[in-house]
Amino acid sequence: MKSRRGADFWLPLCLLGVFLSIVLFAPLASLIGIPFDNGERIATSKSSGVLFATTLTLSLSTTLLATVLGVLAGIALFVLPARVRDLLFFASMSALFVPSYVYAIAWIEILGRHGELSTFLNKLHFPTLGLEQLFSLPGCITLLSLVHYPIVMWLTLVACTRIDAEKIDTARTEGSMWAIILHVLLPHSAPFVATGSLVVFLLSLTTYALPSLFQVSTYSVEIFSMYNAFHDPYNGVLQTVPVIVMAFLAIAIWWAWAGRRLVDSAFLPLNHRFIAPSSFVSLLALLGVGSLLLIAIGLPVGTLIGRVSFPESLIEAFTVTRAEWQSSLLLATSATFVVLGMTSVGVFLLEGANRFLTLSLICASAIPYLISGPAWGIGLVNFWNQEGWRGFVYDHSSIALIACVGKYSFIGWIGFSIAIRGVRDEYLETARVFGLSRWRQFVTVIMPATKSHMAAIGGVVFLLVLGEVDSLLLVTPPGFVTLPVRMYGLIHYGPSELTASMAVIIFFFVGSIGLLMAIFKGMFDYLNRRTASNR
Amino acid sequence: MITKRIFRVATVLAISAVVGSCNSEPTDQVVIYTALDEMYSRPILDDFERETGITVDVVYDGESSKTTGLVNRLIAESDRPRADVFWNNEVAQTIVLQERGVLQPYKSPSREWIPQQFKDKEGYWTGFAARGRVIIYNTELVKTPPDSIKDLCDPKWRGKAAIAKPLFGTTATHAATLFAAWGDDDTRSFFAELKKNEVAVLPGNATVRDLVARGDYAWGLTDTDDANGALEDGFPVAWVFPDQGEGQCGTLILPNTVALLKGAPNGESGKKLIDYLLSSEVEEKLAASRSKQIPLNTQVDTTEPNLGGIRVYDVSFNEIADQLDQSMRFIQEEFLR
Repeated sequence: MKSRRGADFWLPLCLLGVFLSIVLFAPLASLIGIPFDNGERIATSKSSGVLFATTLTLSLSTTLLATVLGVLAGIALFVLPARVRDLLFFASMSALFVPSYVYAIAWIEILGRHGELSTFLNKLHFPTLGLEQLFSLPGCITLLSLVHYPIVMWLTLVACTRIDAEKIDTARTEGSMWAIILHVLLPHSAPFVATGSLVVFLLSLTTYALPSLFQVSTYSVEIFSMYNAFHDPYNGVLQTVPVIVMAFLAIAIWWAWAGRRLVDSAFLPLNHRFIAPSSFVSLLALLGVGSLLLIAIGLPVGTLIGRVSFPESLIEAFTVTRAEWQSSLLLATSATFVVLGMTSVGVFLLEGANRFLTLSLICASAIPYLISGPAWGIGLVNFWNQEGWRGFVYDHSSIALIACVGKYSFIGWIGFSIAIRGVRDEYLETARVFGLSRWRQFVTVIMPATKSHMAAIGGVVFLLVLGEVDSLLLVTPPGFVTLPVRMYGLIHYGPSELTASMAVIIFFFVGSIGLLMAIFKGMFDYLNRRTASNR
Repeated sequence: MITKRIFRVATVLAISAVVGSCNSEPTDQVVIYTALDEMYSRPILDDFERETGITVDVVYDGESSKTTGLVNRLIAESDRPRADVFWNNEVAQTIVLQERGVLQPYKSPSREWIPQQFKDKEGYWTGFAARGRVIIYNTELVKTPPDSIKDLCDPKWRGKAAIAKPLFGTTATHAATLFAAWGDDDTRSFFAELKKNEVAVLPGNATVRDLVARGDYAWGLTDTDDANGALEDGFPVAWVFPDQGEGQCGTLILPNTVALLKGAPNGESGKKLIDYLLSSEVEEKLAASRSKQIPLNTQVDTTEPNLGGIRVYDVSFNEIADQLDQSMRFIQEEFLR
């Protein structure tokens, strides 16, 4: 993709550089500057061992449990007929984008003395599960695993659909369904599963809202507490170091073992063949995925719906949070467009210049995410809360936009660097031969060729920003409250009808986006099949 | 052609936005940070907005970092304050702000009806509408209610009692009060006993109320507004002021406090809001609300709730504020580990 570089290359690149410096690097640099500042310092060395152990236990256990559940669910989905598979897949994946604290409200309700589960167990004369089980490390691990297992499930399914059909047929002639799973599906899926596990590990390593709600002292909770209780950014910054070390260590292990294998397998053609297992295996798979879906989503959402009086409380919840909905939708939409615009143009320009630069940018852009929301918030306060133009931005809702763009831009950088490699060189070459400017090449070649990736990246960023709490808690300006921030504030008053109604609205909003995506996918597949048969 | 058109539209939009923002009429507004629960503070602020036409931008406090979060935000923003008024749900952290030079004195005309012990003599802050730290218990699980906070250490209640995290909100102030009233050693051993007796530490006072009301814990420490809320919702609960007997230390009574920020961007509107919050009308509203806050304004005529006959801690708010930092460090370092 190399070509002569003129003003149409350098000008946008410089603008991008300035933009990135302000949005991403300056707050990070200000965070690094804090330990050298002469501010107040409170030593917490006494507790660092406990913090490290708790954070690692939480992340590793969540990863392990989510991986086991995800692999089983992914394989079970693979053996189901395509329509059932799609339905269950989208139901599971939609739930992934519902913020974890929404489920927490429901589980607090379920595990209460008069909660649905406790009442049911009482009837059967079983000992009840108390809330104290939830307000603990095991409770937090269980809930995080139930929220995150769809990631591993999705990647397992992606791996299975890329296995050569002949391998499956050979294994089938030699043994049972279990032989296929053990000797074909699992070994082939391993790099994908490892990738899913890595994502779950990183997510649980940096998560703040749920451990904070369940009183589990992890690094991200500690960073927030130290800043909020003692106005001590110094310790906050110090405590990001082990988080980053653990994160990069995990990424290095993943890259050494699974990274290259994943790249090799990811570009294998799709295998649309249905492997048609016995009806017993199909039933078992359906029951397995169905039960998991019921526990992870059905039970909590059902409980929340049970708390809601239709339609009064839903209307009330929507009315009292109208301003917050507006703020949230405005923030999520703007963040999506900024991330899409910045990263698509950025990757296009940088890919032509230097791939090493792109890789470095991907690593740097992931740092705001990896240091956890509260630490990123401290960096933003430190850099933007100053006199002059920075103060103007800090007082404005743009600070919330910067917080979200900074935190989630890595999704765009990674997504577009994968997408842009799929664009055929000859298209760009033709565009150049016709004398199209770089901007026109981007609009006429890159954008159409990456539109499905763009939609996927945009959807993910939109939904993540819609549920964002961690980085906004410290920087939300007066008069600009987003729905998750308000909800997070209200959650501590217990699962009231209002919070339950807000949770139900969020769930159905996210669910309807999932449904729309499923419909579009169905239509797209149908059109593809029709085009293929016409040929 | 398309590119040019997009560029033109974007330019027109950008210019309109800039011109629009330059021509915008200056509006009367006030920015308030409040630690009082949103469900109680929002109606009061909405009324002020309606009555005066001054737009109120509010930053509410989350229960998980109650009061302390906002206080530290105000400290962080002190060189360039965004807020005009701080409405705290207690007093010690307001004194911390005063000591850090974040506040400026303002003697509202409404403060003359507030008793001397609930206001700063130089006018840095004024108290109103108080709450008490009380024992809330589930009447289905507890027949003889505990009458002292020291009952938290009684093995009879092992694993059955709860408190909120003493790093934030009124629970943090309560912990500092114990340091001021009992001294260092006694307070440290009290907290060690709490840990030994498996007292649950929950995210906030509202959670303590909810879990006691639902029967997950037999009793706990919370504030009167939370306890009254549970009673009003018809839960099987009751509450008592702890340590009211002869020789006992008494109950902690905490007023809301309101203060004007130094360098407040909308100082005049801020003063109007402070005058409003200290009016007898607001105290009457807070007393009549489900939080049943205790009016301090002597012009408010209520029989219930009131402070009559309650034995309170024999320590000043300034002494409590002095202990706050030490207390919070101990809680973070020793108790919560």
